[in-house]
Amino acid sequence: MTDLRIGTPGSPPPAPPQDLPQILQAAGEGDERAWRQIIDLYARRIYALAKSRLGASRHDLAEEITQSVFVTVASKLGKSNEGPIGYTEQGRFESWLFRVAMNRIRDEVRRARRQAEPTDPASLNSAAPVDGVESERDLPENLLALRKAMEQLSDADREVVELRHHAGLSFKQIADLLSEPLGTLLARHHRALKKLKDMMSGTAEPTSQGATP
Amino acid sequence: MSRLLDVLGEFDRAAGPSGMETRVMNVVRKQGIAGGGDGADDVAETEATLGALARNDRAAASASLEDRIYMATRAILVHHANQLHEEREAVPSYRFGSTLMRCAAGLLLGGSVIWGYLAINPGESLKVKSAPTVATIADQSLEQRLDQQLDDLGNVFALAMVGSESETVGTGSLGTETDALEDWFQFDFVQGSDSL
Repeated sequence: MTDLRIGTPGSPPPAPPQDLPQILQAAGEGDERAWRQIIDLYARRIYALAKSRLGASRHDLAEEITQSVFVTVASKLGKSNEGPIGYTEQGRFESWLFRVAMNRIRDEVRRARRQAEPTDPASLNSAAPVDGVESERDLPENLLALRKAMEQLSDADREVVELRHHAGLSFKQIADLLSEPLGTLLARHHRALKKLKDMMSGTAEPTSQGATP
Repeated sequence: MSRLLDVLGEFDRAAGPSGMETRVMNVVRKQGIAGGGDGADDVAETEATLGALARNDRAAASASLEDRIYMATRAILVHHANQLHEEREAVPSYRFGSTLMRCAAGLLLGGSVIWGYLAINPGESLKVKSAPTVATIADQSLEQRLDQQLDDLGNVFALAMVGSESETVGTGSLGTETDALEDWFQFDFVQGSDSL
């Protein structure tokens, strides 16, 4: 079995293997090799999605969310022949998997917003975990600027960008996941990229975070 | 005339909105017709930077991320898969057992219903016939008196028969019998009126 991990920077997320339905069925029947293959395929994509959404400083939380997503998937795959209770393969595994991940990430974002509403901006900066900051220290300047610009995007724009680039989904899969027309998503993605570019070049005012598009 | 048309053409070209060329180029590139671009207003560079950031984020996960997830989840997967196998194997015996149980339960329920019905409404074969209760309409004393009167009446007829046979004997005895008959009638009128 080939190593499907996406650990090397520069390598794009691989396309799903042709025999993905067979792999899923084998995993559902308890085949540990097939299950390992699924983890190798998708773990880092989910992690990157969570990390980008929650912020680079929430490295541990992103890993925890990734693990909890796979716990959910393992439970559903094990019940895959029980109809509506479990997962039934219909060629939409990736959409379903990242929907589970997105729901988990959204819950975490809501919880974080509810719990931490500091009145003093200085206290927010001082409360940032140190390990996250250190992990970002090696990041090239343009990537740092892009991450900051992404934090200024609205939730809807940011979701499309992250699902496209961090999760590596196709626009059709994103449209399926978000239940929106494909044309709307293409336009939103292009508009978001334009905003990012403008923000990075300093020609645009940052939009308020979490605002609707 | 041709000079006037050139001027009009120049005026119309200048009237185009600013950034029109860029927008047309973006649309054309999205359709995959053209591959180039001036890059000034293009988002390709941003897209490439985004790709690099995403790759960096994917690579930033712990080296042991997959191993930890695998160790944490394989037991869940195997547990559910085993449950599924057990359920599949247990289906025939389970169905047979459940059918038997259902039959037994049905018999038990039916028997209970019949027993309860018979206990409340016993059938003819099970009924114990009780003696009919007849109202006591006769008085014991009246019955005795009626018997006595019937006996007396019988005596009168007997005397009458005896009298007809003894006419040849003499009138003296006949007078005695007549007196006795009078006594009886006297008694009967007195007693009979009381009884009525």
